Amino acid sequence: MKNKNIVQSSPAFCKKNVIFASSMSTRCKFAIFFMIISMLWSCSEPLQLEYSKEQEWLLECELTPSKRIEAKLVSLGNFNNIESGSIIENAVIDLGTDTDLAFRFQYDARNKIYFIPLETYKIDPSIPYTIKAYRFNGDTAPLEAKTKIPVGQKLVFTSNPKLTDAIVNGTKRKTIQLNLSIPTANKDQGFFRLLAYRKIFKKVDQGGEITFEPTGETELLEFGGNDAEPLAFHQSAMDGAVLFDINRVDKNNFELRFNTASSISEDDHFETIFYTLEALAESSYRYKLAKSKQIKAQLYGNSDPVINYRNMTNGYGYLGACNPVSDSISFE
Amino acid sequence: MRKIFNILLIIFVCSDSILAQQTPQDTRVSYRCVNKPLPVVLKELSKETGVNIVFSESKINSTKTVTIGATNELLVDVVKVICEPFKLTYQIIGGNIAIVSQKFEGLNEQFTLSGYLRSKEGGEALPYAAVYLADRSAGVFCNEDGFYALKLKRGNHNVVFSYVGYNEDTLQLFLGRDTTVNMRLGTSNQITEIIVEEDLTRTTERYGETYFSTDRIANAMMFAGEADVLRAINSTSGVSTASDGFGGLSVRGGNYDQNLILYDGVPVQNTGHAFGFISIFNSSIIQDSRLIKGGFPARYGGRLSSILDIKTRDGNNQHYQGELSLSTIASRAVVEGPIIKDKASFLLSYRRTFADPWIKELSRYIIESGDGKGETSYHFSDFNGKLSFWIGRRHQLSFSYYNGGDDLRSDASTDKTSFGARYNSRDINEQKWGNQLASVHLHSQLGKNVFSRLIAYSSKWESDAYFFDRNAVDSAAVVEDIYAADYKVSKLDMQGLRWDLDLQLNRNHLFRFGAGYVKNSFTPGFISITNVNTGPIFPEVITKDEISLLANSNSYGSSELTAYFEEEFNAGQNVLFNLGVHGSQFKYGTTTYTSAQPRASMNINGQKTWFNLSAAMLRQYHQALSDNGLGFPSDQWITASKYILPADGFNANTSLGFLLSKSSSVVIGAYYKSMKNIISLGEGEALQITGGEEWQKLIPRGEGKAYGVEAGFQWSHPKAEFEINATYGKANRQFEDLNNGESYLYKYDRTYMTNTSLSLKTGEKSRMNVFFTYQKGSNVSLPTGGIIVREQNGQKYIYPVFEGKNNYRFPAFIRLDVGFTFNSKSKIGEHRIFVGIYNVLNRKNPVYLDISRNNFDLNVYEINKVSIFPVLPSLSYTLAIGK
Repeated sequence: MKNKNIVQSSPAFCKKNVIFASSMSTRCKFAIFFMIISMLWSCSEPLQLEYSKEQEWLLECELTPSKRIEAKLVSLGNFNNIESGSIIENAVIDLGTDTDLAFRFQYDARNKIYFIPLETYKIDPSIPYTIKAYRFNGDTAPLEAKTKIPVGQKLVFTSNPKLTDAIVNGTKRKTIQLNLSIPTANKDQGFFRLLAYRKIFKKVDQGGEITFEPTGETELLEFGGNDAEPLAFHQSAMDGAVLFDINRVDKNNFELRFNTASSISEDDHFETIFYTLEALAESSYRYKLAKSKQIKAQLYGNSDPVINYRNMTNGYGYLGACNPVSDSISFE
Repeated sequence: MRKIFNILLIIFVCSDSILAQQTPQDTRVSYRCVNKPLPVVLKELSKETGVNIVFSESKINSTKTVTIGATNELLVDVVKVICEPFKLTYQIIGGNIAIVSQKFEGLNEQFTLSGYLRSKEGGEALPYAAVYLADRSAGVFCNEDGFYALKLKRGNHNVVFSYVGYNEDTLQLFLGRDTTVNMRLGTSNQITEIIVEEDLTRTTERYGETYFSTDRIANAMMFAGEADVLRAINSTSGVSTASDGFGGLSVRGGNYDQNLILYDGVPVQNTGHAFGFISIFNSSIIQDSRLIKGGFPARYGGRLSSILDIKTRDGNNQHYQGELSLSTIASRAVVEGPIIKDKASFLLSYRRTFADPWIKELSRYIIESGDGKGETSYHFSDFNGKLSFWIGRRHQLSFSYYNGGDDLRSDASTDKTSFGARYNSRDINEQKWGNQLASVHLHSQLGKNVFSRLIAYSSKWESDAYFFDRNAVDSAAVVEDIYAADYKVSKLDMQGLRWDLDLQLNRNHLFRFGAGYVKNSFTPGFISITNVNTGPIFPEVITKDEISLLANSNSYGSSELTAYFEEEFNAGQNVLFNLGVHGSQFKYGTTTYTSAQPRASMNINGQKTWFNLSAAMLRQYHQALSDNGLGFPSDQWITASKYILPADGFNANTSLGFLLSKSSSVVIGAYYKSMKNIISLGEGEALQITGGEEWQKLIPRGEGKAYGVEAGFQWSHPKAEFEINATYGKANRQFEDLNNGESYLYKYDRTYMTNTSLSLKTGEKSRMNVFFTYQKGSNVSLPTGGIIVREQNGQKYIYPVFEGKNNYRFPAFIRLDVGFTFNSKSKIGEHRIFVGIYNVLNRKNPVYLDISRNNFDLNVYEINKVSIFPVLPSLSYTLAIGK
């Protein structure tokens, strides 16, 4: 299958042609044929790339207070060769502040990831960080990026959540309307990721008395839209969470709708929404947004390409930061 | 023959009145005198004629005398002549002649010279023809109906009537009252031999406008033997396309949907047959067209970048004539003639591709040679009809109709077994698009200085595109059936009424006013379905009917009320101002947008130099949602709404021109434009438009800027014409939701462009045309690497890395065309043969990038640059009968 990524269609003229026979006189046939051949002919030839970023490094690292610091380092491959590109091992990666490089990453060969043990260092939300990844030969400038840890923000519900029946993609679901506010958000720290879920219960009949007991399973609530500025919200294709920019909505009153992933049977019970609001550094927000769009774009043939985000100099990838706050709210 | 008057100095200090009985305007007199004081002469004239002449001796210079000899001349003419050296004039008050100072000369001392300019042969109007005094102290351009109104002082005037491709005519007249002069200009002999001596004062961009006469279009380089107004426009500075006309026009860094294209006053949404390679405008019936790239007059509105105003001609109201034409691509017929001689005429034209049988046979052969079956068919056609009625001397009623469209169908399938594996594929492509335009025009001369145009119109645009693509394999290793179906529809239906009024207040003031109402209905729709089955091949097709039902396309209504006023006034010293405001109120449901867009331009026109400075605020309510800005017929035209804001623009323009000699000129200019709230498809989004309004919220909006300088040189000689122009410009876009919010180069930022054309008379009846263009390549988004993701289960994926939007510039676009035109006459009529070679250098100029996944390995991407036309010979034959 040939999914075109740039244009909806190529013209009908885009066919290479060959001669056919007809019953006309040879001279006439040839003249007309020659003209039509030229008219129909379009040339499609492989683009000889004048530059390629194959072998460039890509470093991904997101700092989260109280979590182990991890980084992933790979080399870019050729978009035309799935066997290209590789995981970079034995690289030197340092994390530090602007003035004082403090920690060197270790390499976990089994999980193919770089890390700094939690017991070695915990992220201090009050200081900026710099990451540097040095190439082996040392004659190339290291990959470098900076970030600040955003302040964790609390979600404020301006009214009680509303639960209504809805039909989504032909199936019966429940829609939860949340009216929200993040009053302490500001222009510099306005990027968020919201993950909402519910716990699955099972119905238990105890001698005629019906109770609901948690099964230990959870269900992610799907982002279901917003009336104000939907472009401010994006459902991540990576984890189903909602990425949003509070600067594009009224931070004191905005609405979000979520749908249950499945219909709720009578045996089920839904009374509380659990959520995690992650305050993101802008780099984290943009990187996740672009990556999510790119994953989604795989589903469609006809779309403009997604432009990758990076805040890494001398290479690709990002150094981001995230500060989560978790809580729950129950329906009345 | 008028007598020669010699006027000498006489001194008078007295006050007197002479009673008389006769009507002054009709009175004639024979009178002679030598060196007499003016008061004496006036008294003698009064006595001689019996007309009461009133004057104040204290106002008359006593050092001058009068010498005059007149035989049977009008008294008022004699009085006018003898008073002139004294800076005096006269007014007729009741039955008297009052001698007054020239500075108190009232409005009744200015008279209107007005009328229509038409062609001598066919009687059709000559829009925008020039009418001016030979000393160039005053002048006007005709309006689009060939009507002019020139306010002049009483007296003798040499009035020049000029129109490109026609013999210039000079009329000597004494203007003593409002006068109507309807002129019929004849075509020059040279023109019939295809020698065009373009009037440089009109072809250069004096007013930020470029005119394209019929001959200029005909002499522009032809594509496949078809003369084309859009190709002529594409050869001017600041105008570019993706390639070979493909994808519409980008004017000075604007989107293709930002051009207001009027065809006989009716807005047209899409101007291309064959994806834009050939315009829908049949060059045989175009009277005049002009492109406005800057200095937008207030009477135009609704687009941000340019105005292309195309007028079709009226049918010949003198005699019947016709034209038959056969070119590489299309055949064409035009018939016209009088319904009632001088009173009514008709014009009919029809054009159609004749290549469809060949395309079908050819495609069938190609498909079958690949072990498949199926065929491709394509054709386009258009019909124009115009009825024109001249009602009295002051009214013209006309009906115009256009209907044209394209139809492309392709269905190819294969089903073969090889090495135990079965491969099945199906590729269906059905696209139809077209315009239907209808209008009624009533053009009236309401008074000596007042002209009215009333137009009621309907403009319909409809496009639908259906694609189905299946690739399936059933083998021991893989069983997979992947298919995708897309359906796109875009309809735009406009019904409007517009009234324009031109009022020539006096020789220095032209006031225009107008109002209009248009009702719009938009029907966009897009649905894309992709499915992957891992079961056995089940070669069903999602049909067009099935998928179009899923698209569930809604119609969205809107309306727009517009009004404008425009004042064009001559401030003296050849300085002309045009000031105005274009206002609009747009309604979509309960959402209303209102705007007032001021427009201003200043033109200084000297004998050999001219200067123009202009600025305009603009607003656009309709935009096309385009795939990567390429401009396909399947693009969605959408209206401003609650969620889609109208686009706003600012445009500033300046130019300076020099007439180097009678036959050569140079123009240099600069422009700047900014745009807000322009729209685009989102990255990675295949925006599904399936009813409702939710999709409208997902359209990113952003800003754009473009600026640059342009220069042009023209040289014209009876045997040759040469033109070269160059543009250096930048254009960029910035969307919060595209390219990570960073500014990026607009697709058609070509930075540098130059066009050169030479038209050379090679014999009495032959001419050679050469056209060369060099343009820096357009910009596309190109992946520079891939992120290889390895899942725990060993599965791998590639995500192409795009560093930035439009980060790659194609190689330069270079094209050289050569053509020869041969003319001859026979008893049947005039014959014209064009033989040409398009893209002589056979340069493969890329149009777009095709980034696709490999048919058999979805994790492998292939990038191809697609160019359309290599070297292309073309041939056309035209027979004009009765011309």
